[in-house]
Amino acid sequence: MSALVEWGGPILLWFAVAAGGRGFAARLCGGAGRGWGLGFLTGFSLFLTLVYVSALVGVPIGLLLFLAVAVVTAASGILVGRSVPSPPVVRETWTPAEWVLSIALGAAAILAIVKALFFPVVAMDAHSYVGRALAMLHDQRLDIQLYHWPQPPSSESNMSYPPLMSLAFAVTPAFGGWQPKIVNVFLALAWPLAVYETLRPCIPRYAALVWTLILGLTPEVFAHISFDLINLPAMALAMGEAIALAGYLESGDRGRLVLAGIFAAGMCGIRSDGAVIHGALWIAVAMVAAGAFRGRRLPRAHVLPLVAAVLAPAITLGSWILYCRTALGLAPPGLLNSGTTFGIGPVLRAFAYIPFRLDAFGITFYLFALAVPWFGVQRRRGIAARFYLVSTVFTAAAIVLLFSRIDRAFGGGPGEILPTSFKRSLFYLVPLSGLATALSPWGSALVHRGYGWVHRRQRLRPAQTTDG
Amino acid sequence: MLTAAAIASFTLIPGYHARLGTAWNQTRVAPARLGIPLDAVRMSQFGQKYWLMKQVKAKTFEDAIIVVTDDPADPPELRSILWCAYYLYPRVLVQESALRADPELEADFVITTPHFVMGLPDSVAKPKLGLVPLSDRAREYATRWTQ
Repeated sequence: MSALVEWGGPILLWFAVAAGGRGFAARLCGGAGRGWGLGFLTGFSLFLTLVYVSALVGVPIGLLLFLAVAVVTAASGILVGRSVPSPPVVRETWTPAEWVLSIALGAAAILAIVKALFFPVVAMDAHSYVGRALAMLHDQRLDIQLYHWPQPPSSESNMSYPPLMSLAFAVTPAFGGWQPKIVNVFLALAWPLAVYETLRPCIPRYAALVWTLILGLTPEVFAHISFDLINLPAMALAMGEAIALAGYLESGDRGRLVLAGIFAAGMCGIRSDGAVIHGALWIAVAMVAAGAFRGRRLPRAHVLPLVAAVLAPAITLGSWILYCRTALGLAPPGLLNSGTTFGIGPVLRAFAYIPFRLDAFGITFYLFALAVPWFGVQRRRGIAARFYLVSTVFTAAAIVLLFSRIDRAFGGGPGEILPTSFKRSLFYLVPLSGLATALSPWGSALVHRGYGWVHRRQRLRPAQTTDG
Repeated sequence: MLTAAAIASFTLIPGYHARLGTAWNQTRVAPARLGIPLDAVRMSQFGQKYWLMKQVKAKTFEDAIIVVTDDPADPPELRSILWCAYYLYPRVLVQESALRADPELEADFVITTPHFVMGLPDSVAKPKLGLVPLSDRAREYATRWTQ
């Protein structure tokens, strides 16, 4: 019975959160966001933000809080999503190639599940994230005793990171279980699923499956399913924000701005560097919108959601920094300094070297590098494709600039930081570059050619490009 | 056929092969893994370091102040207050520098390592992994260890 609660409890909770998130995403996207991938990411971000805000105002952290917030998220999400009409679904028979790809994706999903659940916490940094989760459950508050020990954690420590992911890890021990990585299973399955849901309306099914497989199995990212670190969830939520913003640029639906805000709040509440990614994505939005909607004014009704989406990280990251300074007496993360910094040279060299290592990011960035020149050759591409391209470039630039400003004395210096933290920061680029490539002229040409190769037909018929 | 060939060749790329191989090995030994107690899995991962944390947790009281090593020659896990806190919280962990900074702070226990005995007298210091009571209440508590 206890094993049933230890494992079933968290699994049911995350399913409930996903169901709620699915309803919210459907409402905010006008019925288009009814997929389980984007739904889980929406619910995950909303659930953690609500738990964090509740804990911040003094509600004791524990099973009761998790259950209450999960029920509220699920019930309200299902309620608001119920009345949203779903877009009509065209049922088409699956080709053998699509069956093979689906089976491969199923096998990848099983491997991901085993990878997440096989080991207890073993990664060095994961001990601090999950340890903080255990401490928060023990003390029932964010202000754990560890912050007030005779030797409090330094501002360089993981303990001064925003606590949302630790709250997610605390769900399993709150049910009495030992495996906090149950949430990694959901994250590992949700982000490729969200990629598929995003690509499916734009490219044929077999091509959407291929891209999902390529991105889902990106080696370094795939490996992190078993590590219990915070790069994977931050990346998934950054991708969610990018998808919501691309949807806004395409449809002009202001609900998607709110969705982007939900993802931004979650991402910045998991990793502080999410704020830099958030900024880069919004610069990309401004650039693409300025090019596409030249001379058109922003509707007045869009101003408030837009401001809310830009300022959403203040709910989590902003409040956490204030809380660190005031209640905890901890200096906020102090990695940037006016002293000697890494400088741009070593970071650029690391950037040039790391993304093209097969054991790090595989073919993801090769394909992106192939896709980029095609954007120049064929300018007439969809606004979403252009946004993913521009946001990849700006996000890469933001990451490089951020790391070039890090103090040389921080965390072992460039020799330690660049092969580890910097490499993991490039996770943010994986889905962005993948989506840009899949929707690029090069990707489109490959899809048309590939359809013939895979299905033994000469060429893809025009109608099948959009709904095949 | 082409798709199947692409998937098969995908796993032959060295980087992908290694990562997938790890997961594949895990899948193959999963049934055995499910039969292994959690303690044994952690022992297989961390060996003596996990054994030490288990011993320290069992042999100390919850509000104990415990000194951990800061010697660079020791494993990074044992030097990390946060790593040790994962297993020992809510016991308070400090390093020697904190004791120097606050002379009134009275440590209850010290975790000794081959490189760290924290100025203990020769009669007490043992250059190996272990736990030594320092304060009166810790010594009194330690009398129960053998009971």
